[in-house]
Amino acid sequence: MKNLIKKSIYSFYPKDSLKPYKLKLGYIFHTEQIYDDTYFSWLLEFCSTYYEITGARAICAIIPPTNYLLAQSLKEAGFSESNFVSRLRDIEKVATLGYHGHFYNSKTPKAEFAIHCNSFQLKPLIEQVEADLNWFRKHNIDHNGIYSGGWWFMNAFLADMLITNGFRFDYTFSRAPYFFNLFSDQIMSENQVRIGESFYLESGKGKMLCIQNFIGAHATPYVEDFDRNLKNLFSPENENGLNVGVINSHDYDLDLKNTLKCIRHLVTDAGAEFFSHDGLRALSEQQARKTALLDLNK
Amino acid sequence: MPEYIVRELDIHEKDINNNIISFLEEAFGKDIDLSKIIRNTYTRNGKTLYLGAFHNERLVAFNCFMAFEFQFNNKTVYAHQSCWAGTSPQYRKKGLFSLLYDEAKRILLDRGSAFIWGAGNSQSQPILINKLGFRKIEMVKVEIPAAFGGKFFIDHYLKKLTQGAGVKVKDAFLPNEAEVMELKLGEFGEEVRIHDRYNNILWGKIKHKEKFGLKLKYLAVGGMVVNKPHLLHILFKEIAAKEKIDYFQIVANKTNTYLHNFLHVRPAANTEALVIYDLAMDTTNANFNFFIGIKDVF
Repeated sequence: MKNLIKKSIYSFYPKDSLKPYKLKLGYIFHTEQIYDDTYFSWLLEFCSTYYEITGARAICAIIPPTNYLLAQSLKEAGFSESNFVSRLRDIEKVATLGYHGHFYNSKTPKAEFAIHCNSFQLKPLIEQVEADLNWFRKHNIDHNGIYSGGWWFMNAFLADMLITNGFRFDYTFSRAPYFFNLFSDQIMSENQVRIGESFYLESGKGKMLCIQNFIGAHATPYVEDFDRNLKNLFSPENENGLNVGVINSHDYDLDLKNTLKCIRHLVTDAGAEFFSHDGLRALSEQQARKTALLDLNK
Repeated sequence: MPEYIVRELDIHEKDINNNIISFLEEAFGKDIDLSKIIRNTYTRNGKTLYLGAFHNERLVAFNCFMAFEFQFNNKTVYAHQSCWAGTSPQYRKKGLFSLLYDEAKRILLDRGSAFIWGAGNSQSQPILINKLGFRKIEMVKVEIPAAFGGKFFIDHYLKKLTQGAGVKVKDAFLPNEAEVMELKLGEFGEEVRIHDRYNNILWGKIKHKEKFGLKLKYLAVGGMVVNKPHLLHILFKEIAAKEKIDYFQIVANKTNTYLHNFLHVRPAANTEALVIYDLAMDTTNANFNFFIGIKDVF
């Protein structure tokens, strides 16, 4: 019934409703379950087809196996670390790697024990970030200085740690209601950063270019759902402006068919341009006028 | 006054003096053994303090100070909850309660504890406030009807908040709910219900109560972490549907800043007030985001 209603309403909905927004997009995966053969094959297939359609490489921000939940999942699946590294090498051929951090206040890796803005403890965060980054180093996996936060968590301490460890690009900040983060919201509000506007985050140790996450990728047969959701996020100031950002999904909740359908629609009907990380970086460096300063005492 | 010696007790010591065991039976009843006290009070940070007053090498009074970890303006601090206070019947009204508190204040200040808090009953609260320098913070509650999945009431009791509103946690002591939940899970197992959605977490216990001749099932909320207040209603509705409860009961002290998310908050006249004694920090103007679940008796 819902589908029928949607179908009839969308028959009147303009296909090019996103055209005025001059979308400059990238695609980022929060890559969490590559030990699963099906998800892994979908991921590779998506990245290859996405490249054929857009000429851009997706970004795959990965969780290293030092993460408590992934370690447990790998153990349960009987999936070795060397196989995990081997799959990352395969992903590297079709996408750009980054780091995706999920942090816990407990060694029981459940979402209810997540480190977040209002369940924040510095010591376990430091321990887990260090363990993750040591893993990247040990296995010679290049995260390309790219970070994207699990559960959209970011705060001054994490940002400072990332900058100190050479991360120069972040894809965590978002204005989407489901990706809300208290720190991100404060930073963007205080610095009057609009949706689709890249900006810098600076600590005494360097700065990181922040490219926003718009919304989640498409998982329904109606591309108009995506158009409508993205338009809801935008304000009039987004019209005729440059809107740079990424759309995202996990590897495990990717809707291969419908997401690719939406990408084709965005290119064809909305005039959206898709970019690899390097392209987004170049655009954002031109666009970014604002620098937010990190304050660890706030 | 006979000479009493106050000593810190190593409650994990296997060869713990038999007279401690007999004291516990005498003061707290035969169904209380040491392992129960440990499960109830020994938080994972390992800083819980157990104090005993001895007369001629006989344990005659006991008090536990449970150590909890808090987030306060993004820094980690520890504070201690007084509980399990007991005195042998023939040694009551001899000032042993105060003697134990004086020693606890000295030891805990030396160890950097921010404050001691407790609830106290009708006997101990006047002593804590009038004699031992504690101050009182009244308790409040909100009961949210949840029958029929809460569809008709939850939106009425939760404020319609915009993104970012309602998570004011500056100068608020936020318990590390992961630590509290782990403690309660260790003590009560599956009796403890934990739910999370969109980085909002709510935990508690299912209880029953007779009201208006009806047997009602409710969730006594033990604790909460709010990261996305604008999505909190989704969590409440999911819990109402899953647990099939008639209402949520939220009891907290009135300075709890998470209460800003709720309407119809009223005094909880039958719940003992929170009492606070400052040690290493001046908490006069601080907020305490405590819910009832942090208490030893929850």
